[in-house]
Amino acid sequence: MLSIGLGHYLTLAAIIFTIGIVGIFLNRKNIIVILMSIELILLAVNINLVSFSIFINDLSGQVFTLFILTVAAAEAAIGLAIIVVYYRNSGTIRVEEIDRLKG
Amino acid sequence: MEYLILFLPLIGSIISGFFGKTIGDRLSQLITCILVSISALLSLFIFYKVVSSGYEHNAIIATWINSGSLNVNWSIKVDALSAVMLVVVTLVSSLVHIYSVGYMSHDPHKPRFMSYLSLFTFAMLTLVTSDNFLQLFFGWEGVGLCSYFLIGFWYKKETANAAAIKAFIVNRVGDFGFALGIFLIFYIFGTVNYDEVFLKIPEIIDQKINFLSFEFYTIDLICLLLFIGAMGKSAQFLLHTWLPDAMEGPTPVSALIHAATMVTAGVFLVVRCSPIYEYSELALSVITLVGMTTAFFAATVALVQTDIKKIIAYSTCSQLGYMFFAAGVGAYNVAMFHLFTHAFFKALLFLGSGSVIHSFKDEQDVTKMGGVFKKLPYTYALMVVGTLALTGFPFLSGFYSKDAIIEFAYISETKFGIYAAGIGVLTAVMTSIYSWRLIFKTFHGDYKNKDLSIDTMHESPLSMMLPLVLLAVGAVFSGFLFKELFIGHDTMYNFWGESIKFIEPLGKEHPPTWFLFLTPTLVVLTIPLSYYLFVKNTKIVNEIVSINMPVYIFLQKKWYFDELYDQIFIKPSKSFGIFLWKKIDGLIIDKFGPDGISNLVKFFSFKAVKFQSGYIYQYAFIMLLGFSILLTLLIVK
Amino acid sequence: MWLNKKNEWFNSSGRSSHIPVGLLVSIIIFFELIIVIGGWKYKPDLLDSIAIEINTDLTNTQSLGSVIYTDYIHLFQLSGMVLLVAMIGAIVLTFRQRSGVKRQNYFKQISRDRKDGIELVDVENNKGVKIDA
Repeated sequence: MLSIGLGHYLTLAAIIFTIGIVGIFLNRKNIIVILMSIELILLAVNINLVSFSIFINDLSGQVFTLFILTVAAAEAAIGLAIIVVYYRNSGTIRVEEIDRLKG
Repeated sequence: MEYLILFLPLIGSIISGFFGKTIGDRLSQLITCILVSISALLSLFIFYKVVSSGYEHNAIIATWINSGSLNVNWSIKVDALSAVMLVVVTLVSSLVHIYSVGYMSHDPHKPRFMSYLSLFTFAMLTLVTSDNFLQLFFGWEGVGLCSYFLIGFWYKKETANAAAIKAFIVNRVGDFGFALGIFLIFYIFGTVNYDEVFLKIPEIIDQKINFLSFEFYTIDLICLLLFIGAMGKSAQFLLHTWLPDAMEGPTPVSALIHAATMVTAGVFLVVRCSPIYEYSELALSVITLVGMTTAFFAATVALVQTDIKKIIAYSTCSQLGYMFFAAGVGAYNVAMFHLFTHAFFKALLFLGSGSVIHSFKDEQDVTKMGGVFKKLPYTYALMVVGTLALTGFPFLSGFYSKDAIIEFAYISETKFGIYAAGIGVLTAVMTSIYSWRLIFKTFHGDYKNKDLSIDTMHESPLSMMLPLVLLAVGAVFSGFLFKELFIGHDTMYNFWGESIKFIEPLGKEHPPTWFLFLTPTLVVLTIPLSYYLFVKNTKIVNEIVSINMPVYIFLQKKWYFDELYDQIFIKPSKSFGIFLWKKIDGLIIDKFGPDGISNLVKFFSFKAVKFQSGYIYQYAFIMLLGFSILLTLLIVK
Repeated sequence: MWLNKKNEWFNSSGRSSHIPVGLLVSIIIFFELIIVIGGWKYKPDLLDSIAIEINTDLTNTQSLGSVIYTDYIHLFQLSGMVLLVAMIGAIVLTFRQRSGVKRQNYFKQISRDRKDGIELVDVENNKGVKIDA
């Protein structure tokens, strides 16, 4: 029986983190995927925090996770709202067609 | 009172210059005329006080510079010398102001003109009343500036602008020397105040200084540098080229600035610095040489010119030469005397010629005049008076001053004395010939103007004639009345006081009697000669001209000075300037400096712009790239 | 509805050259993370720096609650504020007043007057009348 230790958790976090990153820049179609990727990155961090919290027996890691979750929720709300507004104004949310982020 | 003399013209200038539009032409003319006239009356009073009681006063207005050992004041120094200059300047200036009212009656910019005239008067007064070299320089540049304004007064005329710039630039050459001279004075003496400098002069007689790798006696060098300034301002040989061209300005300006006052500033400078010049034999010789060369040169050129104002301009140049060689042979008081009388008769001639030009509707060519002496009787009479005074007709002012110069040159013991006297006599004869040529060509002979009918000729208005009459009075009597005072041997006391220094008193012996009678006789004889040549039998002149065509053209072209300078200085410096502009500035400095840097920045920013595509995923990718590089670095470490 | 679009993940129009590069970089990062994790050690004094030790007598939820509502109460309130702001912000951003939507206005309804509704016109014979005011 394989006992699941800290290393496994951290590897999981690394995998999720990398998936999140790849999602951000390989995505060409839908900006919501980018939001989801950011969410993934945050969750990867959360997994790290929780696993360390258990590992060193310190509760503060979990407290931070809670705060990160609230911030992630707020960010998702605002992000989706911005996307809605953007869609209303420009008629598209295809990542390829969003190139206004320049001077 | 001194303050009033100095500042009334300035006030007039400010009022007329800044508020001329609001108060109108009439009022600004009136104000400037009245203020300058008051100044003139006060000057006369001061002069009277100086003459009668040896009044001397140095009114300090304010401290100008007080830095370390350099203490310079704004001041009004009144002594015999500056009193004479005050009278000359303010008197001629006020008459010219009044004359201008008539002369400029058709001009749309009267307030500006009056303002410039008054400003000039103020600058000239600061020049003559200075008690230090710095204020002198201030006034010096001030009059130069006003001269520039006034020569270029008709700024729509291209020749006037060119002449103004020429005058300014040629004066820069002189001023460069002058400024160097002042620097040297400060370097040697640590002060620029006349009194302190003059006091210390005897201490440095033997001192030498290295200048441009030549050993000079310091005094010689100071004197020569100052004299270069004087040459520029007084249009002496080599730096004279601006004066004839300056006649592009309005005629009252020519009378005031380019005959009576500003151009005599150089003479004034030499006389004022007589305590220095007295110790420098070399400088005095140079002054004599330059002075007599100028006198001779200008007179020869004046013989063949056809522009009425240019003839008088060259005549001025020539008379300034006389003043300089008087100063050069050590007769400073005689130089001042000639300056004094010259101011009257030359202003008279200029204003008279202005009246003629006015009558001919701005025609200045004497070959297009003639035969109008009956139409312009008063102008004619006054011009004849001026001419007689200039040529030194017995008992008029020029007779006393100019003959005194020649006599002093004859009896002086300097190297060039006799030679200078010879040149002086020759030049006097030529002066007489060209002056009478002017009169005869202008007023006698046939009427040659095709554009205007002779019936349209009429006398100038009263405002123009009145100054002429007053100047004529001065031209007739100033010599006789002030002879004893200025150059007399037997005056009750020494009029000049400390203002002019003679190491050795001027010789009191007289030249031989035949010499005394030589000049006046020749001068008188030239009158019928000129009449014969220029009125009765013009063929002779034409024949002389055709035989000596090269000489005639040489003189007509003013000894080719303009062409020479054009070749020597203007063209090389122009091509050098173009070289600097196109090659050095354009191809090197700009290419690698501003243009190069901006091109570089542009190049790289075009590259950088490509990075900023606006695509989020690209930004994210670049961030990731950076992150991975950083991580790799950390691991490798 | 955006998600319902046909997934064109990897056949992006003509720009596929970045995909291998991107994948390469991501794989590098992933393995670097693994390396970091594999070679992971902690400082011995890490255990001394524990701020809040987990009390094994309580359930995890209880102990979290006891910390959040005491030590971290201010931060907790602040995070509530963040959520509130996010909510309001989302509403403000997405809310829009549509034009042309008919709404009921009671005040207008009850304050109607007879002369607002009816106008009497004398109609001439054979002329008719313009109704629109």
